[in-house]
Amino acid sequence: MSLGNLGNILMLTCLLASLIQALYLIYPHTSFGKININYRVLTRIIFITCLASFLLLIYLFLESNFNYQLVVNNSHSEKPLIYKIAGAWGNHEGSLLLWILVLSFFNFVFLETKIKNTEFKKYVISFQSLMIFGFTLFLLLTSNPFLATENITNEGLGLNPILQDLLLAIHPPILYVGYVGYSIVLSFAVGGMITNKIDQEWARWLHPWVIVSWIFLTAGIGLGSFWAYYELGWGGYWFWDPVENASLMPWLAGTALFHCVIILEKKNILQSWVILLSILTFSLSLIGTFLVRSGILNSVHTFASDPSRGLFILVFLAIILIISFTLYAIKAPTLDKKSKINIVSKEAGILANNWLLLSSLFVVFLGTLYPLAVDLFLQKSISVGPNYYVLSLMPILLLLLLIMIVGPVSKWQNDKLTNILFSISKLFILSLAIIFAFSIYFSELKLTQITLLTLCLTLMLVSIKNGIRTNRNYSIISPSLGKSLAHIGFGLLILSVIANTTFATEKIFQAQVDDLLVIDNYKFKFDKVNQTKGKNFNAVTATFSLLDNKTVIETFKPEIRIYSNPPTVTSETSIVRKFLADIYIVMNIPENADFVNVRIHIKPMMSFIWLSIILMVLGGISSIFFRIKLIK
Amino acid sequence: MKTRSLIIIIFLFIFSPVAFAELKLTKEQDSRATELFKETRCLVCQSQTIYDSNSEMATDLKLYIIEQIIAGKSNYEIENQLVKNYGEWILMTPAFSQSNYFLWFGPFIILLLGAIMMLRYILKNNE
Repeated sequence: MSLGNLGNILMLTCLLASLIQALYLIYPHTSFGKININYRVLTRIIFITCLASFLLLIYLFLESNFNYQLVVNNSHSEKPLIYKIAGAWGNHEGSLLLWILVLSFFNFVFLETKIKNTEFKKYVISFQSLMIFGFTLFLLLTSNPFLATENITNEGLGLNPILQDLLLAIHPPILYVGYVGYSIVLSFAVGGMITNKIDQEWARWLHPWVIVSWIFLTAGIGLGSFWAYYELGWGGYWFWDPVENASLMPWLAGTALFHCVIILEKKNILQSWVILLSILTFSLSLIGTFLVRSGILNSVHTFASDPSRGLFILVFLAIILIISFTLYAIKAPTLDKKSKINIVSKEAGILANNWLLLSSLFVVFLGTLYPLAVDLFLQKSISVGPNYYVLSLMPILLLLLLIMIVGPVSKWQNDKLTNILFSISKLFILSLAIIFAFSIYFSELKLTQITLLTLCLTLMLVSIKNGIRTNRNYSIISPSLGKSLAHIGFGLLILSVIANTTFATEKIFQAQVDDLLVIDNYKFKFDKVNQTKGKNFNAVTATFSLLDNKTVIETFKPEIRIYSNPPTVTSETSIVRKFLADIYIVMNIPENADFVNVRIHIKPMMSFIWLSIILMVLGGISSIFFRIKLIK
Repeated sequence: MKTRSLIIIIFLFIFSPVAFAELKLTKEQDSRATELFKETRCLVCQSQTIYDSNSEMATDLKLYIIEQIIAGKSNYEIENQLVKNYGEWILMTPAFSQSNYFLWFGPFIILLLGAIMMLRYILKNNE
């Protein structure tokens, strides 16, 4: 039997097993006639078959088995080992298989949790299996990774060089874990509604899953942004590109969701809202996938696109939505419990957080899809660039920062506004003074900048103070430490982004060897140009030295790489990270010219942007361990 | 000389002619040009502005914008001319026109509606 057939058989087994398990949703008995169905066995079969076929696919890429179309299209025998492996999921078919693997992995882990309510557990697993069934069917019908090639060749076409990057090898899997993680959240919602179990205990079970997905989504978006920063060579890290937006939307919904789960757990209110957010978040994850795959949007990410595949995702989304909303319509009247909400209280703060996060979500949604709507109905093309998002999100961001400062310090149930304001007033004045001093002594700031920066700094200081106050035993694994870290991270993120956009400078030079390039207080000498050879590319490398009174402090080596499989030219940036600013050099060589185009960026606070994302992820990790401890 | 010979080797792979080296702009004109470059989409690239692109198309457009600035046209006039030639798509920020009202006002409407919904929810719970 060929390896490809083995893969097909594994996926067919998975299809069958997930279908049988999914049937439990409409036929809730554990046996068909004399045949007993054990959900534990089925879940394990599903997971093992998915894992085995994914490993098999990696194996085919590793041995560069060009009997298979997918390997021919996406690999090359001379490719470095790590990219051979990453090539397995650097394409539509492989990434879909990875998607299914993650779906089944979450299902499997959920099976092993210590939740005692078997009825609930069975429904969650069955709904999750329904999703696995849908995607496996999609895989086998339209995107089979184990398809044999029709024309036997000895060599593959290679992987797009821009994707041959260590970060990009791990960025999609991490993002996928985040996206797919919200599938189990939706299954929780469906299972909970069927078994009438949307209560505080349900929220406590759900909480870690919401955070795990959030951690991976945050890290995935961060890694993608980091990759764009050094690989695309435009100096930016976020472009409001449709695909970036598509990952930001589930992030915003997911962030709103896990704050709400906290209220549900503490106060036993907002049941139906949590259900709606669960449905919304996973739908947005699916739409994110749909946007990437369909190629209907103009984006840097359209390396894997095909309209018919997009159509399947839409049909699938429609089925999921119909099932969940029908259930919701039936159960909604019995879901909500009433409880008094004081307008000055932590729960009101979280409600406001939801209001603002969802408003931001709407802005991103509108900006991403408006060009499509205008194109469809008015036959007109428009671009919605960064300016739109910055202008529209600014007022929401201001309010969000305010809420994030006062919300976490207020008490549950009831608090006094004067108490809250008093407790933050000192830190607010301190922040204002710092920003003012900065504005006077270093660089004049506009009013909006002063306001935003002050709020960011206040948020960071208040979160630090709050973290220390509520985490008296200095435990690393605690919900308050997690919350503080994530909030400090968010404040730092906005602060660094504003500082970065305000103070970044850049200059384009047309330079010849021995030229002296001057930007701000930095002097660079263009030393030389070499031809170098990499593993699977040829390169032209230029050398620049950063000078301080004729002594060389740093050396920069931007490159132009010429790949032959497939033939592509890429510009490799050279970045030196300093504590306060990145120095970023990228070059290209114009036709018929005796100079090279050199672009030098001085980008302040870049390291802090990455640090802020790490802080948010660490915050999530800190509270997840606390949650896991709690369930045990 | 070594630089030049290397450049010739890779001529075949790289296309990014730059021809406006000799056009000199004042500091104010230069910053206006940069601003316009960042606002103009490169029509042959994927979500890039002409500022970030080195394609032939982008270079031509940059040259055009610089010529217009030197000819004394305002940013508004130049943008209008670009839209007339290439359609609205070329500008990164959508115009504040009738067909875009919902795009620009939508966020505020939603923010307001959200606030009302939230307050209603709180009041309903407190009944």
